[in-house]
Amino acid sequence: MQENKEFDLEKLQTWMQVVISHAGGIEAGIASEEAQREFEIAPDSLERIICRSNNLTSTERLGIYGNAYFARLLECLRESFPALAYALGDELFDEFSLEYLQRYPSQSYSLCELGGHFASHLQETRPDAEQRASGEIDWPDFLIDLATLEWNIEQVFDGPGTEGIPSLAIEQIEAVPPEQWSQMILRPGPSLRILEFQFPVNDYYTEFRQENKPEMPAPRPQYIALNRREYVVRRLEIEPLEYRLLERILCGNSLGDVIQRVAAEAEVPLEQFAELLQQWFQKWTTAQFFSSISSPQAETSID
Amino acid sequence: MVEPRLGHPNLGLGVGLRTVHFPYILEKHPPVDWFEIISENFIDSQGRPRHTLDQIAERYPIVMHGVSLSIGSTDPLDFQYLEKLKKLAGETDARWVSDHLCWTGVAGRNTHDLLPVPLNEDTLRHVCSRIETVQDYLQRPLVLENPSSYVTFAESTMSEWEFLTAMTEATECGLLLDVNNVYVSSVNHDFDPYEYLGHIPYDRVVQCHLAGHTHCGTHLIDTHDGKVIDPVWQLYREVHRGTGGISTLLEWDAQIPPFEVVHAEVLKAKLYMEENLPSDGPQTQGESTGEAVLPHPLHFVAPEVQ
Repeated sequence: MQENKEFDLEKLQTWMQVVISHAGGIEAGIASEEAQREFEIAPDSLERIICRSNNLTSTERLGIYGNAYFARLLECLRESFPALAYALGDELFDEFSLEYLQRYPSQSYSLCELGGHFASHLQETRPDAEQRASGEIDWPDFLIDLATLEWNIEQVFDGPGTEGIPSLAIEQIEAVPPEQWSQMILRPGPSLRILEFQFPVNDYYTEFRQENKPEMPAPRPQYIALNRREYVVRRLEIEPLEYRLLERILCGNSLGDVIQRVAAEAEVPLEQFAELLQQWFQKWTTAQFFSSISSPQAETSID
Repeated sequence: MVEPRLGHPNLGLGVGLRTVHFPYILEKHPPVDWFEIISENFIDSQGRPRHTLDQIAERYPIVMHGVSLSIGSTDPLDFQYLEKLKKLAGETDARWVSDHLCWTGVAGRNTHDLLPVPLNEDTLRHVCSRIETVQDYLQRPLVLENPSSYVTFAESTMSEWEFLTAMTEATECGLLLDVNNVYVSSVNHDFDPYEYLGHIPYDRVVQCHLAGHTHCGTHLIDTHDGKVIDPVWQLYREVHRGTGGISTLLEWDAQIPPFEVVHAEVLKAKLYMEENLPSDGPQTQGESTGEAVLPHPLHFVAPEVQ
């Protein structure tokens, strides 16, 4: 095999990637500093690198890849965040997405990872704090909440689940001997996620899916538990106190510790709290939030 | 002496497995010969897609087709990705594992496009070295597809068929001959598709692809969004004659119709095996509607949520 000493594949690929992924288009890409570092070339000299065809110039041919780059990734983001795309409208969603793709270009072999930083990107690029403090604008929080919800739904859908494995039944909780109760630890199913929002984005998402064309809602805290049963993502609104309990349970704290801390913080009479707990355990087991209950000290597991 | 199809079986007429068809396939068990999956849609799945694939793999032969191997890139190979490919291939009893002669990104980035490589001795050496590494790791021959492309490089010194032939002879990798891509590239790069096919080492072709594309006036884009057009069927007839029968798969990735329509489309291949014309006459080319037309790959699985 002959070797062409002049040829540098890495240089060519770096240049081509810069050019076709330039937000300003192919010609701006060719003229960009990054591309010029690889090849000092004017757009009208492109034939030194890319041949023309009978019908198209070199620039037009390279432009096919440039057009496809953003169009493909925008389509993927629209599929990942359909409610957010609706809330923003096509033009604004595309604008936000273009910014996002330049800041967080894909580094994964999978398109399923593409939207992983979208909510944090919205957080990082939100309008300044002064406007927020004065209450002039609140829509950034709504958008961030909505992006967070949609991303988590996607992760729960194709992440780990407990299909085919029995979940914890209320009878198993009731069977725990009273003297062991406070040391017991609830083990969540792998798909369980709890989310805290400043806006009722779960309601908005439901309205959107029912094609009811929802308007941006007024702010109201909303707490949501997501998990998956039979391969379908389930959304369940939970109460603020329930959220605090689940938050501590998911950290692996014992039930005694969780209940003591949350009851103290909530300033709820113990009797009332016990009643609420009973309702929630019933609700959580019906929703299949947990896989087992165990006592690390006694090394017993009731699952 | 090379065995036909490098010793792989002729699986018959298959269909690209797409999520919209999951319920139909699970319920009806249609008499399709085999399925090809997009590897990246399943290698990380722990939910419905993987569960469905496992059920389908119990009934049908599965072939894995990837879009992110990036065999032509100057970035290091991603061994974590290869490990997942190997694991899934074992778990689904994949008959073979394929990807494309292309690169998808450099500097740690993925453009999610199948970008062409300049066709010269340097690139050939680079690609062959990486194929050998991948084959050693996967412990099976890799099968690589000719991509459809929209540019050619001043640094190219050989034709695509010369490159493919040298590549398969040097590494003993298999070829996935995408007949639609040959046609698309022939229009885009002004070459004769029959000359291309005339130089293909058919005994090294393991599989072929069929698909629809979009005519944009001055060029064609490989959109996988419609029926196979007559000139592509005519090329397929040539491929069938040259190979003596080959695993044939139809890809349909955008504006996907019901499963029966997709299946009926690939079954038309039988007509070209018997030197007959299709009963419903030649298909016209899909004209661009002015909306963005996207070359594939595009792979995304929408979640099911209540």
